[in-house]
Amino acid sequence: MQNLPLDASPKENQGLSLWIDGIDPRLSLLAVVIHAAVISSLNALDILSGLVFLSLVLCFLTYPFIPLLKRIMAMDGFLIFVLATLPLSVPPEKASATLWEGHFFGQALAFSETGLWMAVTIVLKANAILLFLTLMLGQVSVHKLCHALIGIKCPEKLVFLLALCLRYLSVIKQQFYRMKTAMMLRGFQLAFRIQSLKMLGFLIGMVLVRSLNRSERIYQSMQCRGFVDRLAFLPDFYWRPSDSLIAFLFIMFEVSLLGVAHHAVFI
Amino acid sequence: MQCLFECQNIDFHYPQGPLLFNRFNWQLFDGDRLGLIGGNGAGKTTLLHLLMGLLVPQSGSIVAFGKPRAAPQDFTEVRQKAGLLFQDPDDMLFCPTVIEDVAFGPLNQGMDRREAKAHSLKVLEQLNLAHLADRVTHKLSGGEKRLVSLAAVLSMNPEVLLLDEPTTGLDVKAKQRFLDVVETLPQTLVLISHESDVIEQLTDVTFDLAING
Ligand SMILES: Nc1ncnc2c1ncn2[C@@H]1O[C@H](COP(=O)(O)OP(=O)(O)OP(=O)(O)O)[C@@H](O)[C@H]1O
Ligand SMILES: [Mg+2]
Repeated sequence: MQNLPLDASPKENQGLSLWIDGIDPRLSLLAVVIHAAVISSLNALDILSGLVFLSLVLCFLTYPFIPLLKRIMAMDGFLIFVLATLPLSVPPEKASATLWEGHFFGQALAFSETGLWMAVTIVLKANAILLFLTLMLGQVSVHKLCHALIGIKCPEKLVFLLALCLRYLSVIKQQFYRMKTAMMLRGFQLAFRIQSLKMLGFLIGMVLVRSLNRSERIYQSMQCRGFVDRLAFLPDFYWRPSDSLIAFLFIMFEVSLLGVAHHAVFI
Repeated sequence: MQCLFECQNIDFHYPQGPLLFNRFNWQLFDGDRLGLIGGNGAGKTTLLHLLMGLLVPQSGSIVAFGKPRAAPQDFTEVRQKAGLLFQDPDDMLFCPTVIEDVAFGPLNQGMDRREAKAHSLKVLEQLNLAHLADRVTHKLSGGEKRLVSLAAVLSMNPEVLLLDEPTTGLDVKAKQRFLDVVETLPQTLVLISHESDVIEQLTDVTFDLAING
């Protein structure tokens, strides 16, 4: 089964991954959206780190170690920049909050504590959301995801666009690698030379031209089969009693999360 | 006998290309099983695309199913009645799953979802492909893709089949399977192929575009 390009396949026949796979994908999708919204509203570092830790543990229970680690590293690679630059661009709230001051090419720079905490919060939030996304949707196949999007009433046109992208990404990739191999076989070497860069330009240009031609042919073949503007998805889902239970527990969890974070009093 | 397709004095060239069809005349009758041959670049694919209204001739007229067809909307009916199998099955299988792809045509013909799904399953069963119904289209083998794209065409119940090199790239077994399936189909058939055994098994007459085009 085709897995989302965003993650590796889950551990085989393993309790937790089987259990998550059994959840109605519409529910998983909604849960991710709600969870992301709730997390964005949180600012307490202790709760955020707790959530990251929880999702991390669950993810490692569900997916094989190495691919998951690679994925997390890829994600956090971007966040390093946030961590490094945000403290520089946020002015300190009070004078004592400045951790470091200096000059960089004549520019006065200050590394503020406010900015540092802000960056840490962003990194934690991003990780909590993405880990939860990986956990819930990492093993949902592309076509199931499309169906789920239709199921939660996303515009069909957008979903169709997504489905077509995912469908033809691999075709275009294959085409690119075929042409690249053909070039390599004829002695092409990638180097920083005009000739070599020109060839690379041709390669990329050809991929674009061919993709354009292919999109034309696909449109023609759609027309031949009576396409006007209606799109065809045949989703079938089975909402099981256990899904209702999961949904209920999940909502309770999110509400209590909000309650604790915003110091609401329930009792 | 009823004339299904007729080309009357067609002139056609691609933009900036040489004249490919010059005062071209051709007819296809109900019940014909015609092999369309001619060397590479003779214009075989182009002819099928002209018949389906995907390309527009510079002059001359195309008569299909008893009516002259000129404007793009004239071809809507033609496309319901004639099924074109593209040279590359990747161009035809654009839906996520096989069953959705096969149901794409029937849905466009106005069937509701349940009907379309049941109908598509029936077509897949007729071609012995029912086990592929829930597979993801781009994970199929070349032969499977070809058969599924045939199912996608057949699910629209066309009166005429236009097949563009359907057996290129198939291994001996997949090719034989495909030929056996097509041989039993009752439709009027236009088949492009460079393989003489395929032409021989499936068609009664041949038309050479290199000579007549
Ligand atoms: N999109 C296009 N733009 C310009 N010229 C084209 C285009 N498609 C085809 N041609 C040219 O038109 C001529 C006929 O092409 P066509 O694809 O109809 O040939 P064919 O008989 O199907 O050949 P083959 O057996 O190789 O598939 C060729 O010379 C080709 O170069
Ligand atoms: Mg051709």
